[in-house]
This record gives sequence, structure tokens and C-alpha cells, in this order.
Amino acid sequence: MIRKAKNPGNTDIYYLFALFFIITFGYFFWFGDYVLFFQEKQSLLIFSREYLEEYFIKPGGLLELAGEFLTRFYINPANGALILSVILILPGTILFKTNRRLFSDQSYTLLFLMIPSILLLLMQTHYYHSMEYNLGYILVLLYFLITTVQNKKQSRYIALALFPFVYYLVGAYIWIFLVMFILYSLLYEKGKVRYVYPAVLMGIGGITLLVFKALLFFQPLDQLFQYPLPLVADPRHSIIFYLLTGYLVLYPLLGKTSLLLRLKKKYARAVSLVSVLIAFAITILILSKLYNPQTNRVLQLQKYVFEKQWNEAIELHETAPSRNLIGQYFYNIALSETDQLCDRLFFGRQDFGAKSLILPWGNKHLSRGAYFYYATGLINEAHRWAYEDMVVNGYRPQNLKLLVKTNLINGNYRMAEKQINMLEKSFNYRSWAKKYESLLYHPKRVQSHPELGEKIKLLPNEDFFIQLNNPQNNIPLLLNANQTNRKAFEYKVAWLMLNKNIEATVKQIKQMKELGYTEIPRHVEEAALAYSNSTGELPELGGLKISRERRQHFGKYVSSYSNVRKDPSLGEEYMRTQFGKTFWFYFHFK
Amino acid sequence: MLWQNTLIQKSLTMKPKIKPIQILVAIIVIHISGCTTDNFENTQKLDRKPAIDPDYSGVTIPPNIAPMNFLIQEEGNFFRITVTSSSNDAQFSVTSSDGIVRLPLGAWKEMLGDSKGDKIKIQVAASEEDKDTLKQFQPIYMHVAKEPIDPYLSYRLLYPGYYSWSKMKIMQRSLEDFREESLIENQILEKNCANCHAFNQNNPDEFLVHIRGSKGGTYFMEDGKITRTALKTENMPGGATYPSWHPGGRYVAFSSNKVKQSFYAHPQKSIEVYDQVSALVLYDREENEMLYIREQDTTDHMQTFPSWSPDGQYLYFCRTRQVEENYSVQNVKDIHYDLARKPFDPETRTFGETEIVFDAGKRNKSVSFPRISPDGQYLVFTLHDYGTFPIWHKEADLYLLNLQSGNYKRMKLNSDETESYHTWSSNGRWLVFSSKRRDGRSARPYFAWFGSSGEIGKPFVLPQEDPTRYHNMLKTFNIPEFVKGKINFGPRDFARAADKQSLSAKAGNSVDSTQQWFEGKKEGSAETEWGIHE
Repeated sequence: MIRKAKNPGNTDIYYLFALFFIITFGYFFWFGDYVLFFQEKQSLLIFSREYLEEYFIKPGGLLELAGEFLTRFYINPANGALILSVILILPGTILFKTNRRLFSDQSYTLLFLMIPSILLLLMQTHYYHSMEYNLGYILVLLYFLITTVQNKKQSRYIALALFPFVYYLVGAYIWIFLVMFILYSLLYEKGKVRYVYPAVLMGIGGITLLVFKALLFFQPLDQLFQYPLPLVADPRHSIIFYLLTGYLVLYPLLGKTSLLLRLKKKYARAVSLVSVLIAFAITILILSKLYNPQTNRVLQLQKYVFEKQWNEAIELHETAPSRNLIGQYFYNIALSETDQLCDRLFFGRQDFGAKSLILPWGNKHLSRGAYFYYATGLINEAHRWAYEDMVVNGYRPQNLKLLVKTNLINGNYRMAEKQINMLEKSFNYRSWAKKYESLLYHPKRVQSHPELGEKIKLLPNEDFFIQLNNPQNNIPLLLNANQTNRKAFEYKVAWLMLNKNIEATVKQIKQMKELGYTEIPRHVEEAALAYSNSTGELPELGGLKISRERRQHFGKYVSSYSNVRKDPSLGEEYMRTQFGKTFWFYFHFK
Repeated sequence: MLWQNTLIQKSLTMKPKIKPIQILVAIIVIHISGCTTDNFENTQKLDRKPAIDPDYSGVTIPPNIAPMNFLIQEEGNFFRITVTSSSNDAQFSVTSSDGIVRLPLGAWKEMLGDSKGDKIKIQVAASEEDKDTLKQFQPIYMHVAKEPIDPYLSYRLLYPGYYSWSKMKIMQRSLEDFREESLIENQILEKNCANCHAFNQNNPDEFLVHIRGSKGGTYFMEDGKITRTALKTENMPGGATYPSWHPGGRYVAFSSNKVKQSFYAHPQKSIEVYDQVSALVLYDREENEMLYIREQDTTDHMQTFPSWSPDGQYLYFCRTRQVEENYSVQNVKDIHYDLARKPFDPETRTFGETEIVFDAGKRNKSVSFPRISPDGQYLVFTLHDYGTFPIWHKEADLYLLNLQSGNYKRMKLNSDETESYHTWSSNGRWLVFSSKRRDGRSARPYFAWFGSSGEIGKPFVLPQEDPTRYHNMLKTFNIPEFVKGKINFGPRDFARAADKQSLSAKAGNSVDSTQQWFEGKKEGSAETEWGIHE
């Protein structure tokens, strides 16, 4: 017979939940908001039969759909943090109810019930930890609670008979329930039923698996055991996943073992409270360790580029530099889109040379590589990248938006229309789609569109085959095919500067006037002065001049650099402070 | 319900073939629906046909085709569609509130049965909200051929992508109704690429499928069994592809290609797929041997798209001179394939001299996908400006070649977009082909009636239960093939076969003169054999 235990922490638990809510909300609102907007951009919930039916044809699909739905609210950080905070409390609230049946002693129940929420919070700090993972654990705990609260045998069997349905709903999380319930039965039930229930459940589980595999779903066996468990390829996340899963599976055992840790009643409440507070303190400590400002910066930069907030992207990288290749790639995209590539390239950190200008073809950069091609007007290639991203990673706001824009630029209105229709059926992008819908079948409107019209001017006039293995070769090919393409020209010059090829860089100056430049971009002036310093003559400037300001600055650089060479104690740091934003510094110190 | 948003009314002038229960149901439905929708004070006759999608006006359809559901693209919130046989003996009506017209299967079948060799009249009337006037459009006619179409169609369903794929299915669809089942689902084949399904004379019990990847191989279906076979032998430039069954069933001809994909920078075109090397090979199923199809001047030519004549005496194929390894846009534009054939002796497994059947190069064009009618009289091929992969060429059209007279003509079924992959029905009276006319990118299967003297009916797209299905669908229908019946294999059968060891084909003859151009040109370079080549 299971004894219903009294719970002295009934009021305490609400305070603890409130505190946990504050910690979670605070973290995701102020620090971890990058997780929210990253995840919101990872998928696109489309209200169409063709899209939704994919979720119905596999166990766990509906769980994923529910997660997708809630993730749509992440577009607003406050809403996202609020939803996450509520969701992460739910395991605790369910276990609060469950504990009444499992724990005869209440000494540590508050701590025990908070641990899953804490572990989920830690897992959630990883930007690939999706909402559906939290929901999976919540639903499985709920099913465990529903099953175990049934006192009548008949009701218990009915609850167990729901196993196939719950399996269909939650997918592989069901196996956590299966082990939990078997343990529960063996430990808490008396008489024959302690063996009968597990036997029945295993029978139902086995038959369900067989029917799902052989008749109902086209899912490989490993998927039926794994999908949609949070198998994120990060050892830290994996460790917490195994800890949490193991903890829940053995949870019924805790009720029994807690008897060994029984405290005197008068201390029980205090110990329980203090233990949770210590756990919260440790959680905050771990959160601070798990928080990675570099990841934050890269994903912020990505967000700004996806949302065309070029100035914000530039400012972020210049004030809080990203050390990541992708972060620096996005910075360079933002510079190009604002026509500042050769004026500002070295204002931001450049650690990867020319590699941060173009990402190589492959799955690793599938969702990001298109932006270089879009910036330079190689629209076919931007379209291809976006399309491949859609095929491999599914519909995402940014790949569909890029497909719409590239199709409009190329005049493929019928395809653009389809993609606009999809965005119109999405959650957060209807108004965007409506705006672009008005461009359909109106080439003049597309040409006069501030963004698309500019891209049309950059299009190649002659054809060539895209170079996949050496993508930088596309830049001169593009320039040959459209000699007025300044974006491509600046990428070419940036490429040369990042490769420290001064001679080739300064050779480009003579074409600049023809391309519409009225003054030489700052970094190109710097290269010209460096060239003049080493050869004794200025390169051909094609009618343009080097500014007095740059000459004076160069004079100071030469003098400082001479001092540094003489007196190394002045060192790199001094030069960085004085000249860190120049081509000269990049040339000598990178 | 088979027809949501649509109410059916059957006329009492229906022929007495109808079962009493059907009349009873019709009366009940009329009673429920008719009173509320048909009380119009005025009828206004318009002098134009209604706009419908798909455009089924004037098409020629088989007498066993599924209901030709469509969307009425006219203003209104009440539509009445009356379908009448030409003899006026049969008639039924449906109504729709949203313009989506789903014709009831039973009444449709009876209508087709009554109209064989004649036509069906479809009268559309529309009314807008709060208006008492019913606008009646000019009727649409569909011609009903006497000859049935093969009851099943098999196709691959995937995104028309470039390199990448995720989910991919090979489907079989009943053409007599809307049942659609998957034959292969790559999610239980470790996401391998499934392609090139080919049937021996439209036989659902004898066909093959290629799988590329960890479960790779050519899967032969026969006598209720699936056999996984590894056909690639040493020195073949690529895997065995573009299969064509010899009518006897013992042999299958393939081409073995080393394929390259290049992407255009200019917006007019997106991708070019072309061969660097290709040769014809013959698989002898009895001996499990792969034979090179030799030619005196093999070193100078690339050969692809083998296709047997129905009597098995000739192997047709496309060929061009071997290209240099310099793949600029201009070089690729200079590649032109001719249509050729060579006689075959199945007893000795030998081929005779090659003869050119259609010199496309002279016309500055290129031939792909030769397919010969079951009676051996006609050959349909795709003609395009250059290269070997027309499905990305807007200008690609289907041409009909009379094999007796040598005359050829552009077929009337073409559009401004790509028409490419085509197959004959087993009775030779229907053609199915891939056309990108709807959106310029996704192929849809279109059917066209083919008369005994070479005349062509207006083609129609594969009818769908939901006629708006094509509107937002991004996936493409790839390699449509007629099948004479339901295929009794499913995805799980292929998954089981994929777990078995594959049977490796033996090299049946020595390579001799072909050796030199295979050397150094085998698969392996980064851009080779990637992609789905749909």
C-alpha cells in the first residue's frame, strides 16, 4: 500500500518555483536571448497540409510540431523567455504531484523535484536544444503521473493501454516512461501486480514497436528508439542529457532510498529549502560558465545580417569582436552591403585572412554561404545555396526569403509566388510576404525596389560557370561579366588586402575612377602608401588622390613602427591601440 | 467524404445502369442541397468559357482516368457544375462554394463509360454573394478516347535540387482514382538516393531501381523477389544508369557515365549536367555478366540513353564526339548528340555496325531520351540546343520521328518550358511526359493521346483529388513511367533487400580499346557523381 505523505513544503515550493522562474527568465532575456532568435530562425511553421502532414507520419512528430509552434513566440525575446521559464518549471510541478506517491519522507523532495528543471535549464543554454526536448520530458512525466495515480487496477490498465498513443505523441521519450514505470511497479506495488504490470507494459511496448515498425510508419528501428531525443553533438550537452535521463529513469528508486537519508522532522523543511537554494546557486554558477559570449556574438551577427541590420552588425563586431570565422564573414557582408568593405575592413577583427570573405561550399555553411553571392550580385549562386539549404534543412525564414528575392531578381515570378504563398501561411512572416507579393509579375517594380533593383544592376551580363572548389575565382569572373559591379570589385580588393598582396591591391586603383569612385577607399590608400614606402613611388592612381590625413597618419605609423622595432617593449599592444584599424597594422602584426 | 465542399446532384435522366441505392442517395442529397442553392431569378449567359485550373478544356482523356477535378478561377461563392455525356443520356451536377470541384468517382466513371469515343460537356455556372443572377459560362468539352491508359504511373517525388537531397520517394499512383502509395522511401534506406526505376514493357512484376549510397546497387524485381546487384565492374567510368530492358527480359542495356554538374552565373539558366565520359554496357541477367558494347570508333564517342526497339532487334542510343576536359560554357554549348542505333543478336550477345538515325548535330541540336512506340513505328525524343541533360533546358521539346519514313516533327503538345522525359503506354495510344510549364522549375506528368496516324490530343496534367495541390507544391515528379498494374512491393521490401549482400556482376568481356579512355577518368573527383541528376 502506498502511503500518502504529508508535504510540509507546499508553500515553499511556490517560492522556489518563483525563484527558478526569475533565474530562467533573467538568463534568457538578458544573456541567452541568442538561443531564442537562433531557434526561431531554424524552422518555419507553415499552415499547409503538405507541410503539416510530415509531422503526423512518425512517432514523436506531433511533439516536434508542438515545439515548433511554441518556438514561433521566440521572435520576441520577452515572450520567448517567458514561455521557456514556464515550460521549464513544469517538470517540477509534475514531480511535485508525483512525489506524494513516491516519497514517504519529505526531507529532500524539493531538491529532487527541482533537479530535472535545473538540468533542462542547463541543457537549454545550448542553442540546438529545441523546445520539443523539454516537452518530451514533460509529457513523459505527466504520463507517469497519470499512470501511477490510478489506484484501481482497471484504471491502471487503461492508462497503460494508452502507451501506443503516447508513444506516437512523444516518440522515443516513451522508453523513459517504460523503465520508470517498471521500476515503480517493482518497488512500490505489492503482490502479483508488481510483476504483472511490468509484464503487461513490456508486452504492449513490444507489440507497439512491432506494429509501428512493420505496419504503420516508415521509420528505421534506431529512429523508433531515438527520435526525437536530444542527441546534440556537444559533449557537455550529452552529459547533461544522460544525467537527466538516468535521473528520471531511476526516480522511483529515489523515493525508496530517501528513507536512508531521513532527517528529524524539525530539520527537514530547512534542509530541503537550503539544499534547493544551494542547487540554484550552483546552477547560476554553471550558467555563467556555460554562457559563451563568442557564441552570442556570432549568433547576434547572424541575426543582424538575416534581418539586414547592417549598421548594428558592424557596430557589434567593432565593439565586441567575434573571433569566429562566421562572425567575421557576417561582418564583411555587412560592410559590403553598406559599401564600406575597403573603407572599414580592418576596423573589425580579421583573424582568418581571406577565408572570412567567402565560405566554402558544403553542408557546414549551407545556411550562410549564400550571403556573399547575394551581396555581390551572383544571384544564381545565392539562389542555389538557399535552395540547397531548404532541401537539406527544411523551410527556414531566411532561405525562403532569399529564394523569393533571388527569384524576383531573376524574373522567376511563378516560383517566387509559391514561396511567398508559403511565407504567407507562416507565423511571423506574413507581412514580409505581403510586401513582396506586390512585386510579383511587375518587373518595373522589382527594378525600382531599393534592394532588388540594386542587385539587378550587379547581375552578370555574360555567362560563366560558377567555380565551386575555388569560389574566390568567381569574383574576377563576375567582374569580367559586369565591369560596373563595385561590390565584386571591392571583394576582389579586400581579397588581395587580406592576402597582403600590396602590389596587386594598388594596381586596382587606376580602375576606380571609371567605377565611379571620387576618392580612394581608406584601406586602399593605406596600401598605396605602404607600396610607395617600399618602392619609392606611388602607384598609378587613375586621376584620384591620396588624402592628406592618410599621409599624416602613415607618417606617424612609420615612426611608431620604427620605435617598436627598436624598442620591443612598446610592442604590439601599443601599435594596436594607435593603428589597430589600419591595413598597415594587419600587414605587420597579423 | 470524397468531395469536401462539393455537393452532388444526379439527374433523373441518368441511364438505368445506376443501382437503386445510388438513386436514393442522390435524391437525398438533392433534397438537402438543391433547395438552398438553386433559387436564382435570372440566368445570364456569358460568351466565354470559365477559367479553370488545371486547364482541362479540350483535352483528350482516357476512358478509365480518375475524376478530372479542377479549380474554377472565377468570382463567386456558389458554383454549379453540370457534367453531361454527348448523348445527353447521362448527367450529374456538383456544387461548390470555393470553386474547388471534386467530381464523384462513381458518377464520373459511368460518364466516361457512356462517352467513349465521344466527348463530355462540362457546364459551369457561378453566382456571387447576395446576387440573384446565375452566370452561365460557355461549356468546356473533354474528348474521351476509346483506348484506356495503363492503370498505374510510377514516379520519383523529390525537390528539384542540385547536389543535396533529403527525403525522396518513388511513388505509384493509380490513374483510375487517386490512390498514391510509396514504393521506396529513402528514410528507411539511410537516406540514400533512389532513382532510375525502369520496367520491362510496363510490367509491374519485372522492373529495376537504382539506389546510390550505403545501400547502393541495382535492385531487380522479378517473381516476387528483390535481388540487390552491384553492376559496376572494373573500368566502368561510372555506375550503370539510364536502363532499358530488352523485351526478352534477359538483358538490360545501360549507359555508364561520368557526370559533371556546372552552375551558370547568368540568370537565364541555372545548371548544366553533362558527361565527361559515357559508354554503353549490357547486363546479361542469366549469366550475371556486364558486357561493354564495343564500337570501332568508341574512343571518339560518348554514348548514352540506350533504348531497345520493341522487337529487341535494335538498340537506339544518343552519341556525340568525346569532349575535351575543358568545360567552359562555350565548350558545353558545342556538345551535340545524334540519335543512332545498332542491331543486336541476342543469341551471340553481339552488336552490329552503328548507323545514324537522326543527325541532330547538323541541325545544331542535341537528342536525348529516345523512346520507341510499342508498334515500332514511331520514336519520340527530346530535342534541345546542346548537351545531354535537357530537363534544365527551357527550349527542350518532344519530337516525333516516323521510323518508316524518317520524317520528324515537333509535337503539338510542347510548351515554352521544358518538356523532356516521356514514356509510351503499353497499348501505344498514350504518352506521359514531364513538363515544367506550370512554374518553370517543377516537372509535372502530362498525358497525351496518340492516334494511330501520329495525331496528338491536347495534353492534360495528372489529375489530383485536391486540384490545388500543384499550386504550392515545390516537389517535382521525376521519371514518370506507365505500369500495367499495381506493384506489389513496398518500402519495407526494399529495406529488407538492402540489408542483404549484393550480387556482384562479372565482367563479361575484356575492355581492350576502351581501356585508354577510362584510365584516369574514373569516378572520384569532387564534382563527379554528386547530386541527384533528376
